[in-house]
Amino acid sequence: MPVTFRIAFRNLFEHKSKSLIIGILLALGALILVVGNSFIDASRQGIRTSFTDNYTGDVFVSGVSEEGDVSLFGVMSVGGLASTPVIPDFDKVLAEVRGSPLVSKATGMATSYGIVTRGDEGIDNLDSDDSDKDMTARLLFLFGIDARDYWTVFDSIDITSGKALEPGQTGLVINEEQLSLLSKWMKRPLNIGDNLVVQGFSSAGMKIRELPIVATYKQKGGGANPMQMAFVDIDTLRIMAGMTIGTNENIVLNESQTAMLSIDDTDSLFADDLFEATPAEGGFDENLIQSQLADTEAREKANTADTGAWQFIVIKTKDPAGAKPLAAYLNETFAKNDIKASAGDWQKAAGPYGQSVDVIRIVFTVAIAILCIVAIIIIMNTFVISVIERTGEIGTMRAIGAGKGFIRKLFAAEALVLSLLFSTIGALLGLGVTAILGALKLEAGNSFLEVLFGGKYLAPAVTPISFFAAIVAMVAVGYIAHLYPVSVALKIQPVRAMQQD
Amino acid sequence: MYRGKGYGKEKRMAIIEINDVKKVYPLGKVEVQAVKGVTFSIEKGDFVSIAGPSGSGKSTILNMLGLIDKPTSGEVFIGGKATSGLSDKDLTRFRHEVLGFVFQSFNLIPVLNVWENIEFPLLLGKTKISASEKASWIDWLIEEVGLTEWKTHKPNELSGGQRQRVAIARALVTKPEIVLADEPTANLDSTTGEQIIELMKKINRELDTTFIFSTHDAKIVDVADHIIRLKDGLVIENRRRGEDNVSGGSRGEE
Repeated sequence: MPVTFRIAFRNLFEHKSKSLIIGILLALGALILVVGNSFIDASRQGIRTSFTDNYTGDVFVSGVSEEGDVSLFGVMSVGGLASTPVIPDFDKVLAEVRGSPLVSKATGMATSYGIVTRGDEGIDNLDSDDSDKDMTARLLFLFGIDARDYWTVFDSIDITSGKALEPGQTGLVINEEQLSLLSKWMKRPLNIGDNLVVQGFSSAGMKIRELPIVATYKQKGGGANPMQMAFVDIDTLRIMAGMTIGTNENIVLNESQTAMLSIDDTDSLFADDLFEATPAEGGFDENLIQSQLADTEAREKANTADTGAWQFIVIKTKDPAGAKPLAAYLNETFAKNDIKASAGDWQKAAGPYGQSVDVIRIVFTVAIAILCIVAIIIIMNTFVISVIERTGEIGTMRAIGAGKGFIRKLFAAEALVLSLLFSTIGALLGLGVTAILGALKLEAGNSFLEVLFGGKYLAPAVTPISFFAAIVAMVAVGYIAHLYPVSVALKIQPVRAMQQD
Repeated sequence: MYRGKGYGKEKRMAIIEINDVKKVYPLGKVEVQAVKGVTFSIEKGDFVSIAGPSGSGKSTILNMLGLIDKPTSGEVFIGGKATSGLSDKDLTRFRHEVLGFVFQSFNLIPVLNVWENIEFPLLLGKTKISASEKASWIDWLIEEVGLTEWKTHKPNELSGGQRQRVAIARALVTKPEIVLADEPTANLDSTTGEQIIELMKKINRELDTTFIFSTHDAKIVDVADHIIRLKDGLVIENRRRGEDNVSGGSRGEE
């Protein structure tokens, strides 16, 4: 063993208190990194599995919006919720998707938000409790599905009561826990077959529909899922989301309407010639008005679902590794054929839920970075004290022929030995802590913890990469911390050897 | 023969020469002249004592001879080579290859045992020697200083005299031409001090290594072949045993 490492190892035991101060910091850092990353990895894996198995598939195709990123949760724009675009040339796109050898299954879908109403809002004399104010019970995130194939694409959804929606059937499949919350809020038990009044809202406005509860569900995997997710037949969803025939039709204005819109001087709208000089003969034409009122074409159009409109295609690949190349292939195809659609992974589809993992990781990384800076300062100070205490020893080494390079190597070896030893201990402790936490099977008490845990239970798992990354990070901290002390050591002149007591 | 007047008949080579060396230390706003212009030379194989009371400048001169401190003015020649223009790297190499050091406080590396402390200077240089050659050389040195039974002991398990013996062996391990010892007996009782000086003398005879040690102990001074006595930063006596004062010394005396 080189003499530098021999001295480094022995100094570790010779200066126990200093070694322990530095070591505990490094071990703690490695432990936090291992445990923290195991949480984040579990969270990411939990959310990923949950979304890919139950909602988004491995690859997600959507229309393109200029307002912002498109996800299953809509388009979050600066001004709020923007209209979710439909996929143009849906049949062509779906055929292209299904034609890929990487694809196992694919289905179309659309989403919207809904609020369950009970018809008593604003009535003062009704008993009110906390559940009345809890919006989470009433809010539904509606998945408009193609009942012909959705249940085969997402076979991880377990129907716990009732029967899954069938093609052409109107109704609602709701999470069983959400149903119990709703029952509490409705102050009456809700059963299969009961109707719920759901007020749909989207960027296109509001629509109210009465929908029968046809089934309840839970996820087989029990991952981190927003339980507000409810499945509804696609036509009902289209109406609630404003995806109706009228919406997609071009409005044709006549000449006078166009002229009116093009007026710059608004005062001219109220000029003398606003009304026709000669009223209709015989006053109002009642028949004309009646015939106009009897024309319900526009209203019907607004309430007729656009059966060709789909917002998303969710795809299960044969192999999860095929997701990336498939998305790349589809995007290339869309660009080549000038189709305004975009393919992405589950994280794009999961929108804010997918980003929550990244947000947690960023917060964690920032916290760790602050911890590392504090650790570097403390370790640096401890090393400086050590250098000052060993001034005579360093001076002696210099006097008897050690060059600056040797002193540099000596302190680097000490920093590396110390940081490698203690960060490995810390990482191993982290491994132990995660194993214990995993074995305890701690239950997430709320939805935030469910996201953090990546499921209903805490199941942290340490990957070899995160284990070794924690050690490398803490060794780097130790190495950085020794740079200033070593510069102090290099300034020690050989003559200081003579001043050793 | 020693260079200069009045020395033996045989002409001997000067291994160290110092020429009008002065050393000034800043002490707050004032300057302290520790060495005030000293000139002398030392011949190869000499056993030299630099004597004088505290503050006379003996440690300062020894530091400059050992190239661990630089003169404010004047020149130190080692083996005929001027040292004032040498880089830090060259000075380090010089100290490693030509000089050996014995310190007043022993200055052993606390985490290394006797054998490892003696081995340490060999690990610093670029000269490679075989493991067996190195081991036999270190073992010989350990035997020579009488520490064979203590070679696996750490410095804190040794007495002061034993530690100084280790320091002497360490100073000799690179086979230097000159060994500098700064008050090597100051931290030892008188008997042990005498033993250490005897040991140094024995090695001086056996290996023909030049020994230069500083001391203020009159009994030890008398063991030296060549005595350089200092007072207030000036040489007041520079003579070989049994001979008269020689040339050199302080400028003021010439």
